[in-house]
Amino acid sequence: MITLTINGKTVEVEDGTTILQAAEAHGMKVPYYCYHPDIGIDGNCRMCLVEVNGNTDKLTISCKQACGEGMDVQTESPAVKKARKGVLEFYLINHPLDCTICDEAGQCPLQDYAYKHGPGDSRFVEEKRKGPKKVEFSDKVIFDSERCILCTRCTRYFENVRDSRPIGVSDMGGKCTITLGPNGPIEDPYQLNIIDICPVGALTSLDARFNQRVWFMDFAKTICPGCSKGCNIEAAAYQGQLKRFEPRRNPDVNKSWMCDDGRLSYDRYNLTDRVRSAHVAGEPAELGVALDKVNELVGDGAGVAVLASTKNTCEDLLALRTWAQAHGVTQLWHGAETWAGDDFLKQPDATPNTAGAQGLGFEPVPDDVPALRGLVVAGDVPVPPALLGTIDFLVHQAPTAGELGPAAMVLLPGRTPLEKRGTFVNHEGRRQQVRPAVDPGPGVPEDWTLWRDLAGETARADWPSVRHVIGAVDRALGADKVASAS
Amino acid sequence: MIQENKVLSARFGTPDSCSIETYRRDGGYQTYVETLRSRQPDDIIDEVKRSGLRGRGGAGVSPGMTWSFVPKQTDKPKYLCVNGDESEPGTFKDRQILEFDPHALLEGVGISCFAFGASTCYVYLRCEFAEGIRAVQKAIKEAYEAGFFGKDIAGTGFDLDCYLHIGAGAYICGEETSLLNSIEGVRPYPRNKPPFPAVEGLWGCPTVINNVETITNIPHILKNGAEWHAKLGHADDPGVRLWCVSGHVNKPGVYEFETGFKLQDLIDGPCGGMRDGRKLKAVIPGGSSSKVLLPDEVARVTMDTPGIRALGSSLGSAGIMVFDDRTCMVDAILNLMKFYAHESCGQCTPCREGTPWVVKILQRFVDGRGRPQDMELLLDIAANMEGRTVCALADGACWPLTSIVQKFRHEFEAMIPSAKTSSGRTATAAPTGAA
Amino acid sequence: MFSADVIDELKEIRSHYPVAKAAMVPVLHVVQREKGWCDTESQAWVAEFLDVTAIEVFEVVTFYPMLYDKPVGRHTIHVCRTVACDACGGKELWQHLEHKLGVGRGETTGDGRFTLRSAECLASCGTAPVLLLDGERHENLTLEQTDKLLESAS
Repeated sequence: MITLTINGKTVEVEDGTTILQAAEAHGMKVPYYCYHPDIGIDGNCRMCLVEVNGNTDKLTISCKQACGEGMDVQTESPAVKKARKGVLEFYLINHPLDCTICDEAGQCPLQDYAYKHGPGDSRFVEEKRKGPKKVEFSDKVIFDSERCILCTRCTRYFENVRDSRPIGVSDMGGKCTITLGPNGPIEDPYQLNIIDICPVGALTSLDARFNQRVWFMDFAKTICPGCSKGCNIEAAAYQGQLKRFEPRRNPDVNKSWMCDDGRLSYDRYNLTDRVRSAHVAGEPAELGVALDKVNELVGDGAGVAVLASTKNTCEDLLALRTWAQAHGVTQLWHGAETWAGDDFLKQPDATPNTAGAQGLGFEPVPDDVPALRGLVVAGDVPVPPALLGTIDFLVHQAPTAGELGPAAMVLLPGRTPLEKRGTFVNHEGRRQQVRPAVDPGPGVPEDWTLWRDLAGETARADWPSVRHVIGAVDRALGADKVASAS
Repeated sequence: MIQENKVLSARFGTPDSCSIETYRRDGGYQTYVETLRSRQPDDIIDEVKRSGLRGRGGAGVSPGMTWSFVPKQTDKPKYLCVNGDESEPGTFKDRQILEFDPHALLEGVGISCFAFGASTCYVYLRCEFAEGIRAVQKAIKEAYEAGFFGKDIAGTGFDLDCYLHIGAGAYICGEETSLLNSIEGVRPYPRNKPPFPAVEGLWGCPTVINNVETITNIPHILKNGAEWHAKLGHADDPGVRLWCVSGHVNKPGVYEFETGFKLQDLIDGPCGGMRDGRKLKAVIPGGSSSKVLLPDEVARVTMDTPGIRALGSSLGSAGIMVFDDRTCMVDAILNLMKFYAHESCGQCTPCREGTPWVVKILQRFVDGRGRPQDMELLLDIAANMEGRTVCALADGACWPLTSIVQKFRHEFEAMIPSAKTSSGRTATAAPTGAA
Repeated sequence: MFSADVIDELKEIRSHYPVAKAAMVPVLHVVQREKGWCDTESQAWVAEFLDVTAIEVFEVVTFYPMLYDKPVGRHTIHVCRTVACDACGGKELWQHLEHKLGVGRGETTGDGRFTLRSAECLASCGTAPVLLLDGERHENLTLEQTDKLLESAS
């Protein structure tokens, strides 16, 4: 351990901790652009300069300098503040200051630092440098060199994280530009991560460009439902429409990254043809009437199976199981959806909660399906045709009616993963919290409440809110690994 | 009158001075062979330290000190890089060594590598030195053939390879860590220090980077002893140096003097005085990255580190640029700042953005659009660059800039159109005076 | 792309370094000598020769002023622009050449004979003004000497 003082406060840190990390850990934030915890240290931006041992002639970059025993660090001294202001002025003189039409506005560290540490006025009366604008780095990414501050996070992301070099830096001095390599457009399936790490609006996503101002959107901290990796994301919505997914840093799961497929999947959950009420035999029905019908059809449960989507939360599934078991249904199966995984984040299991379903006793559909009398399908899930062959009745609960809807004796409304509340367990067994990014509107209760209500009075009394079900899942999974619910 | 003491330049006038035959005839490589056979590495490092030699590239660091920072116990190979990127405006001394006495450099390479255990040396030369490149290339070949490079040199078991590495026109590559990146084949951005190259240099291995003139001094120190060297010139900055004089003097060129002489004596004596009988206006004494001196300062300064530091400037690479009274100092600093803006590598922000900004402001003065507040602005921009960057290029740009703004303020004021100047005087050519 | 002799020369250069990439600038000099400039095709060749990606070559080529990423004339002139030359006839030399060749900074004459470029300090300040013609230094130039020099370059 190393003991040093930062702004007069004595702190103790592990050997090898940088000044920047030490300061941040003790609530003293140092601004920076080029450093990124998941890309590494470069030391080019000069934003994180601090004063070490009173040396004001030569300030130290706190991102790279390791803490030393007895060091006296100042992060807010007059010399540091002047340097910061000076560096920001250097950034701003050639920056187009087109925040009015820039997609980064509102989540832009250049704006934020300029506001907090910047000069406040401009002493630059010369002509600004001109450079290439609207450069297509790919069919997903657009580059604006005039906004670029050359922190090189984007090039270092590819080099250090993706082990590839689709873009680089050309020329020297003031002419330096991020540039596409001679091999043409970026093809990396994780390329959109450079949009998030770009600290200005130099890199924008063609998909998100000019779509919606960031301050008009609501952001929910949730989990990408696209595969069993469980990438932590922020899902952004405007007036009930999902607008984008962005990765949310979790060092243990996805660091700061997510795949482009997952990121661009948000629109899949903007549904137009919702099931907004229960239906019995194709006719709209009161929910209570429909639920009674389900219990009537299931009877003693003999010959009935449940097939649950693994896009259901653990809480949905526990409520479902509780109802099923109370009604003698013992065949609890879960669906399977796959896609091509890779060696970075993407898992072959294209659903977020298979591990949760299995932990709660749901099993894969057996190869030899016994003859069934009835089937209850919970969620939007592909149903093996063998399950449908002999049944007398089908209960289907899903956000949209889909192909199964017309065949269902009882059709119940359901929520998308972006409307759910509860937890998913990822492929590594990590249970993570899911929060609704959008409200489905009238007539679509939370899925777990449906099954709870179906299960009867005891369940209703035990689980007045999702918190109680989450607690019940803790016990059911026999684990206390309730995730990083941050 | 001051007398040249030709140590490094002694052979410059020798016919066929570049050939190994004439070099050996003049005693060349004897010190190398004797050193390899009879001296211990630590003992050589100590000798160089005691000689008081400071590096001749600009920073003035003792090469003996640098060598002593190289780890002794390591499995990694060690490297010497000879810095012959000589690009500091006003400096043209290393080129003389390369063109006229390349074997003297190579002998220094051999001894230096032996001293700190390097097994490979890269001699880094700027590509504009066509003649120097040919001379060094030939000399390396001759030295290999004569057994001074290669395996088991002089039967001592010491192995050393020496290769030429050619740059491509970038001043920044003279910065030692930029030079390493240039050799490694990546964009030659300076590296943040620590780690220092002596510990982690080329490919993460211990590496020393020494200037051409520095290395060429080494055989002389080993041959004549540390005490001999320590007694040359000024006690606190001893030795001989190749002084490059350019600008408005009658006889510009490279002169070899011991440190400690009076700059005025050099200009008036060997340099033949000011050209066309003009008056002296200013001298930039240590390559362009040093602070300008006014005539009264030139009259009293002695050319050694303590003497020049007393006037706030530095000896740098010993490039002495002399300007007469016809020179527009705003023009001169604009020219220099264009140099720094052009040569800024672009890696870090204050230098990449600051140097072109300064050029734009100075250009406004020259175009007749200077403003009274611009002098303060220039000084503040300099303050925001100096000591805030990865390497010293921005510092080197700030020193001539701030000193010229401070010492020739009246020339800037005179270029502000028709308005009153900041000191209330009307803008006309004002009398010269120290700030 | 290159003759066997040139390939041997390049392999020799590459053998000077423990990591092939380090031969980048020296190899590009040879490429430029052979091709006149570092064209895209040659850059791709160098990338393969040094086992690096094409953009790593591009990043280096575009950094250095003396590596050309655009074609140049049969002869290249570099006139020193920096302060000592500027103070001692460099400005006049530059203006003379611009006028005589009818081209501006970095441009090539219509007949493809000369490319006129400026260079930063060529380390010949004591013999200003100075230029490089095809890489060879010419010092203490008068305008008449300069004209003769150009005549010698066909």
